[in-house]
This record gives sequence, C-alpha cells and structure tokens, in this order.
Amino acid sequence: MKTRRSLACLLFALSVASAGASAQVVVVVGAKSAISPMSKEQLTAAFMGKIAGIEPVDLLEDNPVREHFYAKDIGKSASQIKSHWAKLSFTGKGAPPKEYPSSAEVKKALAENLYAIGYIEKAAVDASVKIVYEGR
Amino acid sequence: MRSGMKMNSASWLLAATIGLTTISIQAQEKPAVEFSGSGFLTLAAGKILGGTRDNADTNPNYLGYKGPHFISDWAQGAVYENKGVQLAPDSRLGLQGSAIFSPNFSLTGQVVARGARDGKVDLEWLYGSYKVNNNLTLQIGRKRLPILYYSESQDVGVSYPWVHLPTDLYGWQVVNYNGANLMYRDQIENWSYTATAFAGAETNKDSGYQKMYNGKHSKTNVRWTNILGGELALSRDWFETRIGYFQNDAENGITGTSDYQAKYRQKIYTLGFVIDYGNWLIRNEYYVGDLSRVEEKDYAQIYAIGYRMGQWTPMLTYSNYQTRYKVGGPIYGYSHDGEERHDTRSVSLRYDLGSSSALKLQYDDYRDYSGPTFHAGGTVATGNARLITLSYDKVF
Repeated sequence: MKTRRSLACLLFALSVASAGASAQVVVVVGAKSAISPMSKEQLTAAFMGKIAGIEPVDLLEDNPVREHFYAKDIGKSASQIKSHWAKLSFTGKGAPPKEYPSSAEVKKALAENLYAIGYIEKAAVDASVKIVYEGR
Repeated sequence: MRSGMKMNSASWLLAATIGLTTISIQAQEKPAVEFSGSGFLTLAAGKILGGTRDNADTNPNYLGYKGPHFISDWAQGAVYENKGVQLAPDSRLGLQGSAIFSPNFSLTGQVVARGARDGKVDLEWLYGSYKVNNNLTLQIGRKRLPILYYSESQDVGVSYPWVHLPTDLYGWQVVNYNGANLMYRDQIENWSYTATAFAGAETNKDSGYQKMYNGKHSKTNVRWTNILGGELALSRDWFETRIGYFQNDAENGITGTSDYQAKYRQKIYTLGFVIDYGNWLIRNEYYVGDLSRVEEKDYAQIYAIGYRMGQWTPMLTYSNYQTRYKVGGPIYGYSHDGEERHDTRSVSLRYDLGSSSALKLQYDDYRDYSGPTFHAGGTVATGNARLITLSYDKVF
C-alpha cells in the first residue's frame, strides 16, 4: 500500500515537474511599471544585472520554471549564472536576484517594486502584471 | 609614523561609515534591518611534478623554498614547494555578511582564512554602500583594488575557470585599499557600461609578494598612498571589454625593519576582453606598468581559450610577464642581465557539480627566462616548475 502511494506521489511530482518544464514562460513586470517590452539581448542583460533601474527577481533554484527560463530564454546554465553573481556579490558590484517560492509571490513582488522584473508560467498571468517578453 | 597611518585610516573609515548610516537613517522608511550571509570555499591540493632549481648546487633551499617551486598567488605568498602533496597554497574559506538598512544603504564585511597565511583570518572587505540613484553608487571602506578583470574575485574560485588565476599577470604587492569609490552604470543602445573611480591608500605589513624576492621567512612592508584610478567595463551580449588605469606612490619596506626605501610613482594601464560566444570562452588581458622613476617598465598578458561541453569546461591558457629596465638612454631598451621574465602554459578542466560548486584540475608549466643578474643576485628566480593541482570550489 505504502509503496504504491509513494509511487503515485512520485508520478504526480514528475508530471508536475514536466508540466512546469514544458509550459511557456513569460517575462513580466508590475502592471504599473514603466519597463517596456524588450529584445532577447536586453532580457539577458536585465537578468545578469546589467541594466540600471531594472531589478530581476527569481523563483527558487529547484523550480522547473526557473530552469526552463535560464536554459531556453537566457541560454546559460545554472552554474554560469551562479558564477556570474558570485563575481558580483563578493565584490560589492551587485546582489543576486531575490528568490520567491511561487509565481504568486513573484507577482506580489512585482506589484510592490516597479523596477522589478520576473518570469512566470504564461498560465499565471493576470491583471497585476504585463508581459515584456514572450519566452519559449 | 606607521601607527599614525593606521589610526588615520581606521578613524576615517569609522567616520565615513557613521556619516553614511546617518544619511541612510534619515532616508529610511522601514526601521527593520535585514541581514544576509554567504561564503565561498576552495579546497585545493597540488604537487610539483618537476622543473629546475636555481642555484641548486650552492643553495638547495633557495630563498627558503624547497625548489623547484611554483608561486600560485603572489599577494598572499602562496607557493607550492617540491615536497609532496600540499593543501595550503590555494585553500581558503571566506565569509561575507551584509546588513541592509534600506534599499539604498548597506554595510558589508568579508573575512578570508587561507592556508597560504597559516589559516590567519584577514579582513578583506568592509564597506558601506550607498545607492544615490539607479545609476550611481558610492562605497566607502576597505575593498579590493580593481586592477584586472578577476582581481576583486580572486578569492572566489567559482567565479573563474582555473584553479588559480594566471600568476604572471595576477601578481601584486597590494590587493586591498582603504578609501572610496563611485560606480556609475548605464546603457547606450544595447551596450551596458559601468564606470568606476576609486581613491585610497593601503599599508601591507608582511607582504606575501616581497617574500618571493626576499625569502620565505623574511618580513617586508609595502605602502601605497595616493591611489587614484578608474575602470570602464563595457558589455553587449557575448562580448565584454574593460580598460583600467591607476596610479599611486609606492614604498617598499627595508626587509626586517619598519623603514622604507625611496618613494616612487607607478602608473598601471590595463585592457581586457572577455568573450562568451555560444560554448566558446576567450579571456584576454594586457597589463603595462610604468615605474619610470625606478627606470622600470612591466608588461604582462594572458591569452586563454576554452569550450563548454555541458558541465565540462576544458581551457588552454598562456600568460607571460617581462620587466624592462632603462639602459643607457632615454628609451627602455632590452637588457637581459637584469631582466625578470617568465611565462606559463596551462591546461585546465572545470567540472560543474550542480550550480554552486565545481571540481577543477589544472596543469601548469612555468618557465623562467630571467637574466643572470637576477639569478645570481639573490633576488627572485624560481627556475622552471611544473605543477598539477586539483580543487573543489563552492559558494554558499
């Protein structure tokens, strides 16, 4: 019984993970933000902390939407991103993005900070945010 | 004299910090202070595989180092000697803590304990950071000198592809300074740029760099004053370039005493290119040091190319260093006699373990071409050395 339940849980977790990994990701800002739609090049610069006045926010590291976003839209591995922020954060040149556990939390952060930019599953888009980049 | 210097810089730091705190408290809306902590670790093991030993017949432990020996970090006095597997030279642990008083003001401190200094804990960074607006940041306190691309993150192994940075280029008497810097960031079209200006001073008691010239057990002070410089980093997509300049008045101590030799002015010019195109990595940096009052010019460069294959990054690196002295005329000519010249060929392999840690393996072939006066004159002459190192780097 117990084994079967664990197996069911595992299958459920896997299906959620794969659904997350294959769902389309969009890059959003708060509905009142002045940040305008951007190119892929600008998007990469923004998430590497290179654009003054734009503060990227992240989902937690094990979140499949985050993995999907960096791999498909930014085109960099998790370790490349970590190396980049390690170079900045230990040298006083920038702090890595704040991390939030869910799309709902990301949307809340974007509503509170009009300089912030984040990524969520397209299905999670609502009136509190506007899309500045359509991811893959 | 020296204790006076210390008092001055310490009280200045304190005053500056209090000043910034006051600005911040006035601007603050929420009274809560947020704290954050992070750190980095490098555990490395290395072994000399061979080479030559200078003055081997007459002095087998030349300068106190059992040769052949390999210098892995000049500033910290990190040396692999010919005595089996060693953990000390490149291993270190760093801890960083920040107190964030408001979105615009924070205080950050970083301490590093390193094997090269027998585990002694050094305060490497302690600064207040005040964000004037989205473009401009003012920082006051103790920081690393932004000499070359990786100078400030030299202790953070995860931030670069090698076990240790190319030592022909990354070798300094002084790597920290107490002072202030202004950083301005903006974009022009699709180019992002960061322009930084910095000023300050530093007294290094017991310079690791000077041990390479004066002996393992020697103690020499180095004092840099009137440090004034700037750097401009420009990036777009896969391309990044930086140019840097700084000048300072340098005084090398008289070994074993608290006195200094004559002061001289040095001017340092740097240029670098960092390319991450698809899976290709190119790291290319140039350095020219003009120490005209002591009739010396230094040249160093690095050429490195690597290719990312998933978690693996193999890399080939060549670096060299050459000092030229003025001989007889107004032009810096070539005088092999007193010349310090060396180069290094390195093969390295980085393997990413998850996102925050990496294993690296590196083979260095260091060759010493310094002139005869240099070898016989009782100053640095390491001879050739071949080194293998394995490291585990982590950030947390």
